[in-house]
Amino acid sequence: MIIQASGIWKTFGRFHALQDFSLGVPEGSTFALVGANGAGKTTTIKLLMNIMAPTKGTLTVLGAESQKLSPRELVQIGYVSEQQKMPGRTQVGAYLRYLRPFYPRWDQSLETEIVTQLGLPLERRIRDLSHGMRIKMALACALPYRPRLLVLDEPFSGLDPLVREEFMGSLLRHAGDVTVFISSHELSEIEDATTHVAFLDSGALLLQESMADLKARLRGVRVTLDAPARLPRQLPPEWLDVRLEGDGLRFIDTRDSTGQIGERIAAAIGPAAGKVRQIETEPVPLRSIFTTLARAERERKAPKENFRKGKARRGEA
Amino acid sequence: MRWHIVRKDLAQLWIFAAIAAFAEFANAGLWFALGPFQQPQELVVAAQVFPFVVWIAILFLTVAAVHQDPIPGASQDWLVRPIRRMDLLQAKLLFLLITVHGPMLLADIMHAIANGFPIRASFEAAILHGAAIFVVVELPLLALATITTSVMQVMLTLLGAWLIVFAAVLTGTAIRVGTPPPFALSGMQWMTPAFWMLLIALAAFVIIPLQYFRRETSRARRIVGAAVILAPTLSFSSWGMVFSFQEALSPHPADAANVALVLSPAAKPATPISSDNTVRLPVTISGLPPESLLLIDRAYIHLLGLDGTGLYRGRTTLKLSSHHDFVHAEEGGEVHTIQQIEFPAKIYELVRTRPVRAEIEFSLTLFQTEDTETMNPLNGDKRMAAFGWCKARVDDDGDEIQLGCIKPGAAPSCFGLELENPESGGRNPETLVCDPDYAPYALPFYPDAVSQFGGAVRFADKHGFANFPVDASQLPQATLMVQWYRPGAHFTRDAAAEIQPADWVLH
Repeated sequence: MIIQASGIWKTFGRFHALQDFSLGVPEGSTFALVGANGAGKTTTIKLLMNIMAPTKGTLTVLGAESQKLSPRELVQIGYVSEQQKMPGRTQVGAYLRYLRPFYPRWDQSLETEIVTQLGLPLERRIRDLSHGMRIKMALACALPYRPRLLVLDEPFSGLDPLVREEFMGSLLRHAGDVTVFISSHELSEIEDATTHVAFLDSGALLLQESMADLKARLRGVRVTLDAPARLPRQLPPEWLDVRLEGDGLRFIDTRDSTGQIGERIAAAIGPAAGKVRQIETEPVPLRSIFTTLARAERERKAPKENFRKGKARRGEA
Repeated sequence: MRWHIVRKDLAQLWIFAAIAAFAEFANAGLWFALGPFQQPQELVVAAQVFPFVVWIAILFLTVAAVHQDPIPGASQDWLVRPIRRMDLLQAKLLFLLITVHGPMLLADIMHAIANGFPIRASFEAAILHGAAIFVVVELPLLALATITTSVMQVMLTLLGAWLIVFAAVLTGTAIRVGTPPPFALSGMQWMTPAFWMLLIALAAFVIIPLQYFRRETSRARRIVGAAVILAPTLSFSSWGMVFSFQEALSPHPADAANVALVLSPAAKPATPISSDNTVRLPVTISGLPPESLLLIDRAYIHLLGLDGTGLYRGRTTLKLSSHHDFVHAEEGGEVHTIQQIEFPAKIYELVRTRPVRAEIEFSLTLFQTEDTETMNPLNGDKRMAAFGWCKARVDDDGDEIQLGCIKPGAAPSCFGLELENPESGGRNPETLVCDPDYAPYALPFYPDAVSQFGGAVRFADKHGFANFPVDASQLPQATLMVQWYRPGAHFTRDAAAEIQPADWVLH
């Protein structure tokens, strides 16, 4: 694993930004860390770049403890973030020239190619660049030394579709066999390139899986019945986002096993609901997977929260 | 990679660096242009202000250099680059050495050499000045810059720190019912800036590595807060405590071993006074070494009834008719002087006609002559080991001999000027130019590595009230004696006598 996190906690005062967070990023993968705003994605990335220290737990990057990342590891890591603050008074070209000597593997011809492709104005000061240009600048500063690990923190945030496309185009063209660790909630942009995914919600990891396994396991299911559909009395726990649609049911099945799906569905619906006429399955987009899982997790937590709030209102301990 | 980072910062900040260097050279040039007598007058104000311009330029340059790669926050690009923290810190220090201390060293050396001092002495003074500025100004500014991200934050932090210290000192003064800190206006004044310098240098030595190697901004800011809170503590200390410390620092404590001090009510007061509740007690001081000066830094008075009941506690200093609080023992041995005690009116009314016991605890400093030089008072021009390059002349009013000196390093804090006619043996009273400073170090801070100082001694009274043994007619034969006094021993003595206060008041 190029990144290995085990039992990571990060606490700010009384707020737990990350809670018992563990994950492993295989070398060569494109690993997407997905989560809503405030889920803990940026905190995770700051921990693995040694910008912050974890409160508890161990985190290794390229085999080194994150808190002991040295220039030896950092020459192999590219980093792009929407929040990255580069020296504003410096010109784009001057900053690229400044960075070159720090990276023994810096490829100047690759730099020229990337700068040209991204249309970066070398004579302009960094502070005079637009937000999109700055992100592209950050990418141009991260790729020319062909890093082993490329860490992208919300790179699409605030970018218009054209810039996103240019960014992804350049990234895919030049990344080669680099491991990409990307945090984003812009799921449509990364879905095609992602090989592994982890879902983060309120600082806790909901799941971590390869995209192939996830897409095989999670299927969108539409069941057509011979009578107006009714919800089963007891919904199976593996059915998420269940909705009634006329004479049918639509849901996401999180335990797809194509061979037995008919029997499982018939058993869950029961004879009283009618006879299953047709079952259709389809792949679920990453965005739907994320929203469904996040919603399910919140619903799972909601009764406990409501119970606690109710007790608090009544002044009970 | 250190030089690579330095070059990057130079490319960004060369204009600021050029301004700071220009300010340093302009400061040296201005003071050089003023010469020993600090003329023309029109330039004096500009020259007096310019060292502050230099310090402000240093502040901006230092802060800007550190803020090129700011420490606080979690978004700086340099954090994810393969830059060794040690390289970054060394690069910042190198940048400051090149842009601040390089020009400063050069300006200081050129200023001293232009005044005719040897290269070695010029270099030594410049190095000492540079080192003092580096430790006391540069490193604390660097530390402050590491916990901030803008010049505005630095200015607000400095302003906040100043307000807190000022408020604390005011509170201390209020607690002491309007009296200033215990050792203000004494030779021990050096302790306040020294304590502050020690605090800020210590804080800087802790904060800089803390920030560059661990980036613990919150902790570093708490250290600054602690230093600011500790800064005024010295003003809450007692005179006794501070003077004991000064006593322990005495360079030659044995010099005062034989000095004794007694109240001698049998002697007669010498000069009239204006206040009628001021008692003037004759004091006899013996055992003084020749060519010495004695300064009564403070006297604590305790007035008791004959039955032992306490009537009054107060403090005063010796007031003499000339030379302020100094007792000059040219020949050494025994001298007589006056202890003046100004009572509050109510106390005086209470005790004026009753016999009381006065107990006085004196805090004293004995100055020894370090060096004596002579020069021609009329257009004298002489280079002296102790005083540097000095010139003497008759002032514009025609009643004083003016002495102006330039010296690489710190100026002497206490010296005397005396006109003597070797042929007649006549001597005018010595003029002391003495702002007592008991600091165990002498650092040149202001205006640069070269100090300028001087004084004047009278030989005529335009109103005709005073006659001088060496008057204008004798100036061609006269010599100007310049005597450097250095504090040798700080010590205390107790004295007591039974008095009836009204007997010792002149009406």
